[in-house]
Amino acid sequence: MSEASDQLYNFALLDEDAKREIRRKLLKAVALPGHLVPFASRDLPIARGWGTGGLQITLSIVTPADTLKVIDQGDDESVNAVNLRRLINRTTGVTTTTDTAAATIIQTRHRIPEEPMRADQILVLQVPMADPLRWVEPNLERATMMHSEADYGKMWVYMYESVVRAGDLRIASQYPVIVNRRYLMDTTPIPRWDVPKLHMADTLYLFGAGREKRIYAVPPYTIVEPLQFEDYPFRTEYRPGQRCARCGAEHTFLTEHFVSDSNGGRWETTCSDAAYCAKRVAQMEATA
Amino acid sequence: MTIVATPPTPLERFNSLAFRVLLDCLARPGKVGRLPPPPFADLPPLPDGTPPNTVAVAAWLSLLDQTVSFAHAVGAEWLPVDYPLTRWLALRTNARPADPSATDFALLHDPSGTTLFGDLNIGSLLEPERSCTVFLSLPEIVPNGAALRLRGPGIATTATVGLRGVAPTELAAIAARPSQFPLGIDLFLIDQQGRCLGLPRTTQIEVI
Repeated sequence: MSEASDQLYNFALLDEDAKREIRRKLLKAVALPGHLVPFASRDLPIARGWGTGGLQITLSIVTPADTLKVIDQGDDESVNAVNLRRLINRTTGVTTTTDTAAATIIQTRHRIPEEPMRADQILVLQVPMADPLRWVEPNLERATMMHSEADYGKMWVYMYESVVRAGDLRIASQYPVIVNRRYLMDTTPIPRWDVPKLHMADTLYLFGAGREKRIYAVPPYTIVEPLQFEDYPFRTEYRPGQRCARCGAEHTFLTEHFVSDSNGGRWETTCSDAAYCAKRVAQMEATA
Repeated sequence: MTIVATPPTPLERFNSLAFRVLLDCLARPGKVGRLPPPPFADLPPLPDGTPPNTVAVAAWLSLLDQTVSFAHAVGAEWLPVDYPLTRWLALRTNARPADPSATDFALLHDPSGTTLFGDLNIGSLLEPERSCTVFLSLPEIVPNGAALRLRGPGIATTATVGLRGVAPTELAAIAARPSQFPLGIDLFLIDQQGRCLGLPRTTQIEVI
């Protein structure tokens, strides 16, 4: 087969009109921090709900000079991340990496990398549920009205009820925040550990919800405040004495998994950000 | 790994590179970006016979297609639908020339167009994203200069920027543009050398 007949697709898969539409919506999303901007959400060779929102943003902003990293729950090697990375790479030819510091665009599902991100990088988050008011107002039209009027009383009642029922703010992930003192925003299922990284960051955060057809953004140096009460403040998952079993890091987000051995097995906690953990291990081995 | 896509054409390449500059400038007001060289140079002239700012037109066109409407102005006058440059823009993009109050994208070919800000759509509380995106062409943007002081999202503390060839009344009009968050217009200033400054509605502008 000749080389030309292998080139079946437009650069970055999406047609130019689709990219242009997403670009227009991204500009409006940046001008309206935390506001949900509707977009067309084209069909892709992967199913909606598998990262199509983030993927469409990445495909619309990527240029041949970019270096791309894709992570899923902090891991570069999970099936979703590997497939998305391969799709983007085969339709653009951009360089891919697992090193956070080397990437210019990072597409992520449910984590923000542990290494601090810089001003020249963009983080694209995949969003399963765009509207935080879904918990208290399932009707989309009414929820849009509530956003337009900054009417978040029901959400505060939800938070209060969570304290009354559970004795604390019982929200594991997808923690609701107020952006730029105006819009209530869903942080996507990133752990609470990552929420403070949105506040006054150096990096631009873009959020894409493909199934729900919404785009939103948090520009750099923007005030992002988690919902909390004076006597029940927002807290991250940090446990004093916590430690990664592999690299020994004490200030990262950890995941727990079962390791079987001759004694029947044990629970082990390791860094959720696999590339960061591997980097630390490599550094320790180099200095040892 | 085999690449299964064609490389971008010069126009597509310009559009994607220009978008990254526009996105970066809008996300970081006060940062002066540099747009890539425009992919065409055969623009019909403005009414006074001078050529339009090609890079400003090209960056603006990179966002236009058949689903949006546009209007453009020289001085304090909106140019008519049958004007040669209007027709050239409509033919290139398939975008519809429209009344300024309903237009999605406006291009102001010189700083005196700042008097027209009041004509433009600022969106509604239900759909603030339907407001107008305005490109304003001006003689020169000076990074870290002393014409405007900026504050707001995207700026760590404050930022300053200089604008040459812009009258004090026009600077005041930029500072007083329609921007009552979440409503308002979003502004890109682009100079003759392709320098670009983004002023989203969230930015508080003060004339120094």
